[in-house]
Amino acid sequence: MGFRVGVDIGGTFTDAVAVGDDGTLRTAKALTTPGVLADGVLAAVAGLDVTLDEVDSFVHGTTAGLNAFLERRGSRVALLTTRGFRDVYEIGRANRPAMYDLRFTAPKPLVPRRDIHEIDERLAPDGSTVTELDVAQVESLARELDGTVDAVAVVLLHAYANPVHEKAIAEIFARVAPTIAVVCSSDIAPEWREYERTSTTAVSAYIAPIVLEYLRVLESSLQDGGLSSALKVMQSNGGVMTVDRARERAVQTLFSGPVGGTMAGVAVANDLGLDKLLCVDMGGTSFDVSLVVDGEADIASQTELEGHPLLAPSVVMHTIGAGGGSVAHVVAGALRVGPRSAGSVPGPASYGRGGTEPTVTDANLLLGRLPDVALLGGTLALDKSAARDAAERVGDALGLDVEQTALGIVAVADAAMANAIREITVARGIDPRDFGLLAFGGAGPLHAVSIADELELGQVIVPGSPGVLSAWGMVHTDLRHDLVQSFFHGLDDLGPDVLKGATTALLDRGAALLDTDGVAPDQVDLAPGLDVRYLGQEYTLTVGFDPDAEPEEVLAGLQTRFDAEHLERFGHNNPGEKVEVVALRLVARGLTPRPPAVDSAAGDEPVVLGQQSVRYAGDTLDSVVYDRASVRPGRAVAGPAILLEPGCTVLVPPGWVATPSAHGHLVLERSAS
Amino acid sequence: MTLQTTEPDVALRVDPVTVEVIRNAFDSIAAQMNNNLARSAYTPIIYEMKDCSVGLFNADGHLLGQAPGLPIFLGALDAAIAVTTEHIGGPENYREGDVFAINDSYLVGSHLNDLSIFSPIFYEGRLIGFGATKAHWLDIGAKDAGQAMDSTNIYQEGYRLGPTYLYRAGVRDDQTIDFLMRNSRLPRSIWGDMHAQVAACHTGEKMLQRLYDRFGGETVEAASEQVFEQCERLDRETVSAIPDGVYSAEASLDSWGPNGQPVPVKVTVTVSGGEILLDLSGSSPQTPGSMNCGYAQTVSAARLAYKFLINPETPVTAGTFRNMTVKTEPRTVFDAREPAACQFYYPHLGMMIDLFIKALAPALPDMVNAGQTADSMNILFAGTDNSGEPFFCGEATGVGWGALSDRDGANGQINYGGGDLKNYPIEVIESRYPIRITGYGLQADSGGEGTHRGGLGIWRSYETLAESTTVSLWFERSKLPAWGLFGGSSGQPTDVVVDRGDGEEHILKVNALPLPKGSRVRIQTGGGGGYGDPTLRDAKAIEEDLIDGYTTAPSLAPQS
Repeated sequence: MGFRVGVDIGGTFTDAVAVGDDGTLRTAKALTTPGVLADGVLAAVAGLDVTLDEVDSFVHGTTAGLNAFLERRGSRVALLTTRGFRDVYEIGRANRPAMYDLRFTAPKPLVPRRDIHEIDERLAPDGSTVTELDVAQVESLARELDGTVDAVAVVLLHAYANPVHEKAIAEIFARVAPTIAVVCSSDIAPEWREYERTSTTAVSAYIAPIVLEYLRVLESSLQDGGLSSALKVMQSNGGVMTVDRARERAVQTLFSGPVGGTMAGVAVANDLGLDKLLCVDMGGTSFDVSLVVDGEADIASQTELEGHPLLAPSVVMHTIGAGGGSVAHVVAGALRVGPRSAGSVPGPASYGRGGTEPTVTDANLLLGRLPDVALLGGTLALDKSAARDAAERVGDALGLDVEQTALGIVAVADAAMANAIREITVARGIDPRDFGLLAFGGAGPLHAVSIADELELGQVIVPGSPGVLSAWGMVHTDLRHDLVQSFFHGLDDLGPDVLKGATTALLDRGAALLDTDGVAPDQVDLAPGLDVRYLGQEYTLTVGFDPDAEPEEVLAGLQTRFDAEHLERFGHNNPGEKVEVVALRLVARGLTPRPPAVDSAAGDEPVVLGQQSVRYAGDTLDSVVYDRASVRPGRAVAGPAILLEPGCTVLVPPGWVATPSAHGHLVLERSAS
Repeated sequence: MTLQTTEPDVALRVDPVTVEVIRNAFDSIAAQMNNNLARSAYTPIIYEMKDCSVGLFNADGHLLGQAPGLPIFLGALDAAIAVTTEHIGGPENYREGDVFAINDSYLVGSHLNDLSIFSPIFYEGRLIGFGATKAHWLDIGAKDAGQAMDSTNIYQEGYRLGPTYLYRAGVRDDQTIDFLMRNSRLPRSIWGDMHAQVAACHTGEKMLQRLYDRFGGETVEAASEQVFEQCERLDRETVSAIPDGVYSAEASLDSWGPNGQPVPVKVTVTVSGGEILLDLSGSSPQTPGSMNCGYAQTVSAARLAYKFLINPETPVTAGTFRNMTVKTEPRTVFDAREPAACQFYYPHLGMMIDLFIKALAPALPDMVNAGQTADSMNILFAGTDNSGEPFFCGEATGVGWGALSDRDGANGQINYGGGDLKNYPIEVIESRYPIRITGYGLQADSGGEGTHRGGLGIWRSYETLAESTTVSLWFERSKLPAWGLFGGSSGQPTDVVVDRGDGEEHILKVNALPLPKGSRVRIQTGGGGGYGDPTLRDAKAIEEDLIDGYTTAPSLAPQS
């Protein structure tokens, strides 16, 4: 039997999932092996009981690039820029987002000023040459840098309009100093705005040698083990790419790990026939929200990481500091929760590792929502009296008893999470009430229903295999290439022939990339779109169109569709106004077929693990604690109840019913009464 | 979860948990309004430079929550609401669906380009609050495109609106909007930005109504009063820790305009039992140029100065500044009256903020920073491009920030009042306007020396490509550089060099100076002041500065 395998490397565990042609699922975990991450991957795969020669597709989410960035252990990079513009990278946009903080420090550039070199050359905005490239100067610099840096980032003014000088520099380095990896801005991010392009190129150069070496080792280990299909890598944009492609665009692997959860959201939406999902991942320190809209991950063309802007299409991920470890404290008579986290050391008071401040986890324990039988992460017994002492100290300062304090901590955390969701939806014209909530991460399914109540959502979903969710999501992800080209036209002046020509060329490029990837023609999906705005506006909306439609037809409907979308997104529009087109985009996908649902006949009665008193805002209610694995399709569980599985506790409050789906997801809805 | 207190005379007390939930909701609503405004505005000064501000207010016009934007607008929106309420004869005369615009400098503070737009919010027929925005409109029909550098009265600066209906009970007033567009050189951007502001107000309206749905009016309103109390209590505690006394500082700006005279600013801060009195008496009378502002804007700037030193990490609400009083004398730069021009409403405010910090330095040595050349450093090119289209391109420029007790000053960032204001990308400028930027960087050696070094100023060189262009300049602090603190030396001052093909001239302020094709302008903003004795600077830091070229010589001699 053939298998599709997904592997995700986390901080502690490396997760592996295999889906057979018949839809059967196997999962495994192995300890992550820092420094030699490939070892952990191989160990996890071994746990699947699948031989590598049976694997048709191997998708991998790697944190190699992200960790190198976060820990600042990237490669030594030199930056080459146009004469006169050495400080573009350090000055950035000169803004101070922390507006009252005299101590605000801008993100420290990844390349220190001493390693930024100016080159004599200059292009005009139309790509014409103002000053020729000084080839001798570049050759001499290449010799000087040879052996002292791992990578060179090349960012010249207006290179998005004409890459000629950047390409020439890359060629000179290939000739003179071939061991240095060269990353050109015109390849990575061919868009205007020199600072953002510099930042993106610098990040890419900074992580590229590390990501490439990691992938090289992993690929050869897997091939030695018998893998014959191409190794694929998860990208920030919610698609996968082949390792060959990843070599050219290391920056696209940056959020390779975190987007797995969102891609699981896409797969869950598909399983359940849903259109829109809020994907919320609540762990120990942070709460990440992303969206599935129209059955697809919500992608933005620009994002940032610790203040470093990135012109790289990425799943939109809104993160706030709220998690199980968020610390409750009192400021001027007010109860604050987070953003400070107790982390894993000292951790929540109930971990007994020296934490004395109450956290969200402690509050859940005091309320009975984390059952006494639960073992967080499977290894840790919780100390309820330590949690009680910690909550008491905060409660005393507020005039609340322990239970009120615990309820308060949870309520404040829930409200903060609901606000985070509002901020990525409402302000963009999206009504969250149309969405279901997919909750995962250690603490997500505990808080999901409260958040859904806050936001007036009708449905909460806890996915199957929550313990290996990212890896599971990756298995179901399509191959994806995002192509963009500047395409600057007033809509009135844009002729059908021009649109047709440009679209055809872009479609051909997309199809060729997928062909190189080995995608069968019937699995190719090409979705072109135009970035459109009112004349003079800056932000654009992407209006998609049918690649087979006649260009006259596309142009005729464009203004109306843009007007409608603008109204929906921003609450106003201007139908009489002139419209301009800024860019032509293409999302080229190689589709991954969905496995069939496994026939899971209704099983026996769910296994009861115990009884538990759970405190809700109104009452204390006796709840039955079930083993989630024993709750089979057709066996709805009515709240108040708790469903327990390793590393994850699902709280079903009164008034809600949990129903397992055919794919093993748990769907929580309000009871009919 | 509403707990009744046992105290008989106190109105509803909301439990601290609900208060916190509601407080977070206010800030979140303001953030959503701000996103909406920034993402749908038409002009880069709003979406790119964030020359805007939004706030959510209660029915009394008290601030519930605000979002990052231009900090110098901190608090000016209150005045717009208060003035309008009075103008229409009281809050009972607001109707659902009304939207107002106002920009009168004497009433709401800053220059006429800043349009405050707000709408009342109703819930079940009752006024419950206001969604308000303020944003810079590129052209409002001043005597010169965009803005004049040399206006001498407010009538030269564009149209001036008292409280003006844009919508009456939901019906758009097309005559007013026609007037606003017809008198602007950029009517299209007026239309777009105005609607973006209105949409942001409506986002605030929807979200506040939803909060009322969820908690009920009584709880939201009682909770907001408690939020104000919390903020006030926290601020009073912090100010109480400052030793009572009178703290003062004074200095002079270069000039109030092209060929103008110096402008003295005097700051006297009296701290007493948790209260701060900021007295600006003794500062310059209102100037014959446009360096003037209304009292509301002075209060805004005073709040910013206060916030830099008092609990900068906590959100601002109507409770925040209750322990501060701002005193001005009428017909001074800080409290201008008709017919004073107000285009450059900020230079004396930036100086005031800098002096406020300097005055309190002895009491708060670990909070303060050394001085900066605290102005926007504006350059504006206008003319006709080579295809005959009119253009204008203006921007503010970052400065070196003063050093602090534990770190060097920031290099090249927007001054105190600018916050999230962003510079304009070179590639965007060159693509849109007939201007080439020939170089841009940090000015080596411009930061003052100290145990911690002042941040570096910025230089930028422009070359004109159109047959005829004009440049307008407003640069400050060429005479008095940013001061050091506690033994640190001052930074380098500001300079601008213009070369029109017949030699270099140093010009700091000028209105619409004609530039033939190929003219060059080089601007250089000042570096920040140093902090502490330069001889105590870490040897490693000195060496690193040299390697990176932030300094070119290891001088340790104090200069000032």
